[in-house]
Amino acid sequence: MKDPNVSMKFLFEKSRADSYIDNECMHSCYELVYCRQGTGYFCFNNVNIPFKSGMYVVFPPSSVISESGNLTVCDYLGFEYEYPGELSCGLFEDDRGNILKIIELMQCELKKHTDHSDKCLESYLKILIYTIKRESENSLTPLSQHNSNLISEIKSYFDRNYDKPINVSEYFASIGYSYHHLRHSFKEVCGFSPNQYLMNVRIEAAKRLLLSTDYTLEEIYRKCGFNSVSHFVANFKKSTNKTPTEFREERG
Amino acid sequence: MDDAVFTHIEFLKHRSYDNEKVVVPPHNHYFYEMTYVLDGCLYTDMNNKHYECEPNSIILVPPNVAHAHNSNDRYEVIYMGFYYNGLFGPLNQRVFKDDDEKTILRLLRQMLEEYDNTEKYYENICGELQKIFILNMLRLQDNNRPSNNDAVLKYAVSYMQDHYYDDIDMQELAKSLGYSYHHFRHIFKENFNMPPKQFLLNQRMQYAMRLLRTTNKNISEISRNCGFSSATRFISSFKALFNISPTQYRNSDTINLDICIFSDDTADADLRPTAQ
Repeated sequence: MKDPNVSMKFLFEKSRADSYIDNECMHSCYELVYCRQGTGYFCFNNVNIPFKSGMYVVFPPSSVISESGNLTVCDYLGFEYEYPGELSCGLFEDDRGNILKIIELMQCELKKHTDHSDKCLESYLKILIYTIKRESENSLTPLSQHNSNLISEIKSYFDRNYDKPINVSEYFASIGYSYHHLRHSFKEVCGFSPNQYLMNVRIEAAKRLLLSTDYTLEEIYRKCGFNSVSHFVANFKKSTNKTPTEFREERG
Repeated sequence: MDDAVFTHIEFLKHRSYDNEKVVVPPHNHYFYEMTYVLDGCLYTDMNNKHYECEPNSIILVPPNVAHAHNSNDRYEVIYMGFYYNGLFGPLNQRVFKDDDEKTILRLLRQMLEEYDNTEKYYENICGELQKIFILNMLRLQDNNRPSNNDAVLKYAVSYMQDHYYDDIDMQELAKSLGYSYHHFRHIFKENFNMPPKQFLLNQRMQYAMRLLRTTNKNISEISRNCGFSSATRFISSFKALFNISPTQYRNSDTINLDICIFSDDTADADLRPTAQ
C-alpha cells in the first residue's frame, strides 16, 4: 500500500460536565473522537450515533456534527489525510485497546518539546490510520450503514406492530432519537416519512383483509391499527382513490 | 525532504543464549546494525574500542564498520539490521543507554509483535515504527535537545480554529501540550502577538461577523453558535472591540470592520468580513 499523506492538526483531551449539548458545527478536517469515559450521542447528518467508553468515531472533513453527553472524557484528534483510497469513517469499538495506546503515545509526544516531535507525530498518526483500517475491516459500522441499519430496524418495527396504536415520536424517543432528526433520515433512506410509511403498511394490511376475509370495516380498522372507521376510510381513499367497500367489490 | 527519507528493516530478531560462550568474529555489513541488550553482558569491539554492554545498552554499528561481539555467560538481545539514508540526521557509531521510559525497547517490542502477527498493514506499521525508532535514536544521541521553536503551538491554534464554538479551557489546552498555563500564555503571545484567549475571541468574532452579514440568525443564536456563554457577553465583547453593536453592524452595509487574526497559509481568507 502506498504511503498516505497525513498531517496532524490537533489532539486535545476534554472532560465534560453532566448533560451537555454542543452546537452543531462544521469541522474542516478529519476528526477522530475517542471516548474514554461516559456516554453520549453524536448527531451527524441528522442521525444520532450513541457512543460510550472504549468507542471512537471518525468523521470525514466538512462534517456537521453536534455532540451531547454525560460526564464524558474524550480525546479529539483532528488530522488531514490524503490518499486515493477512502479512510473508513464511522463508529468503532476499540476492543483491543490499540487505538487508545497510540493516542496516549501521541499525547506523550506532544509534551516532550524535543526535536523531531512533528515527524514522530506524523508516523504515529500513520500507524493510527493503518490500525483503524485494519480493525475497521472487522468491526466497522460506517456512518451511512449505521443510518440504514437503524432505518430498517424501524421499518421492521412498523411491519410487526402496525396493528397497535403507535405514537411515532414516542417510539423514536424510546430508542433514543428525536423525531425531527429521524424523520429526515428516514425519508432520505426510504422515500416516505415515518408516518407515511406506517400508513402504507396499514393500508396494505387492510387490502389483504378486505380481499381475503369477510371482516367488517369495524373489525378491519381495529386489526390494522387505525383510530376509527372514518380514519380508516379517509386514509384508504386518499391512498387508493377508492373506499374500502368499493375496493372489495371491485376486486372481490 | 521527509518524502525522501528511506528506511528498510533487513532483519529483526529476539535471541537468548543460555550458558554458552558466543564469539562473533569481526565482520561488517552494508546496513546499520543495532543490538539491544536485554539481559546479561555483551562485549563488543568496534573500531579498536572495547565496550562492556549491560542491560538496556544499545549498540549502534553504522554500515561498513567492523565489529565483533562475544559473551561468556547467558545473555539476551534484540538485534536489528536496517537501511537508513540519513535524511532525519546522521546516526553515529555509539554504545548508549535507553531512556528511563525504555522508549527504544518499547518500539522494538512493538515491531517484533507486528512481525510475529503479520496482520494486514504490518509492513506499513513497522515502517513507521522504524522511523520513530530512528528519530528517538537521534534524540538519545543529541541528549533530547529541546526543539528550538515552539512547534506544538500550531496544534493549539488549529484546535481553536476548529473548535472556537466550544467552551475551551485554556488551562487544559496548555496542559495537553505539556505547559503550565502561564508559560503557554507567554510563548503564545511571543509567537502570535496576542494571548491565547484573545486569539480565541477573535476567531469567534470573525465567525460571528460572517453570520451577522450572511444569515438571518438572531443574536442569541449567533452567540451560541460562536461559543459565547451568553448573548449579553457577545454583545458587550463586540461593542468593546468595535464600538458598535452587532445589530448596527448587521444593518449597515457600509461599515467594514477589521479584526486582527493570526493567519498562516491555511487561514481562511474568505472569513474576513467584507462590506456587501
